[in-house]
Amino acid sequence: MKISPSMTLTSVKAALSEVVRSVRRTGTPVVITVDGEPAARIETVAPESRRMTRSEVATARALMDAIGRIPRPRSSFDAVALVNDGRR
Amino acid sequence: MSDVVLDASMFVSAISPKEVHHADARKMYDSYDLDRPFIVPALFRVEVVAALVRRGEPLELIDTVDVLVSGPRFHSVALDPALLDEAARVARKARLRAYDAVYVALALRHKAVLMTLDTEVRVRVADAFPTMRVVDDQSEEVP
Repeated sequence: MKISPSMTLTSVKAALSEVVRSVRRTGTPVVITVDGEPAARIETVAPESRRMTRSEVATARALMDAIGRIPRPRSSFDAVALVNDGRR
Repeated sequence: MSDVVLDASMFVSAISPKEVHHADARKMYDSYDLDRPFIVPALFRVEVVAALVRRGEPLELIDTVDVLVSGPRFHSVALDPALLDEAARVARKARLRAYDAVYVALALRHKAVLMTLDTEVRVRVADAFPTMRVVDDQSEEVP
C-alpha cells in the first residue's frame, strides 16, 4: 500500500505496521482522516535526553577546559549580534 | 531543576572571554546540572560553528567546540515536521524570526526553560507565552 501524508482511517487500519515503519523512516507524520476531515496524526516520538555518565561529564568538562586554554582574538564582541547576523 | 533549551548566543558567550556578557553567561551555563544535557535544535551546532568561523576564531577552537557540541552534553533534536509546525505557530503568535521560533517551539515541546541572551526574544516570549520560563545572563539560576 502507498503511504501518503494523509490517509483514511480504513486504509491506516489495513496497513498500520507499514504506516509506522514509514513514519519512523521518513519522519513525515501521517494524518488520519475520518469522513474526509483530519482526525488524528501518527508521528515519531523524539528520543528523551538522558543523564550523562561520569565519563561523559568528565569529557565535557575537559573539553570546556581545553576551550578556555586556546588563544583567542582579543577584540570584544556581542554574541547576540554575531548569532543573529548568521540568522539573517 | 527543569530541562533547558540553550540558545546559540548564550553558548557562544559562555565560551568566549571577550564576549560582552561572558562572565554572567558562563555563570548561567555552569549553573546547570553537569550531568544533564542541554536540549538544542539540530541547527545549534551549525549556528555555533558558523558564528565562530565568522569571528575568525582559530581552527583548533572550532574543532574542539564542534566535538563538545556533537557530544552527549547537548541533546540535539531534529527539525521534524511537527516541530516546524509548532515553530510556525510560535513565529505567528510571538512575531519571532524563524531560528528564534524553532528554539521557543522546542522549549514549549519539552516544557523546558529557554536560556538566551536575546532581550527581544525574551520580551516577545513573555508577551505571547506568559507561562514559559526564560533565563538570561541577569538571572540568578535555572529554575
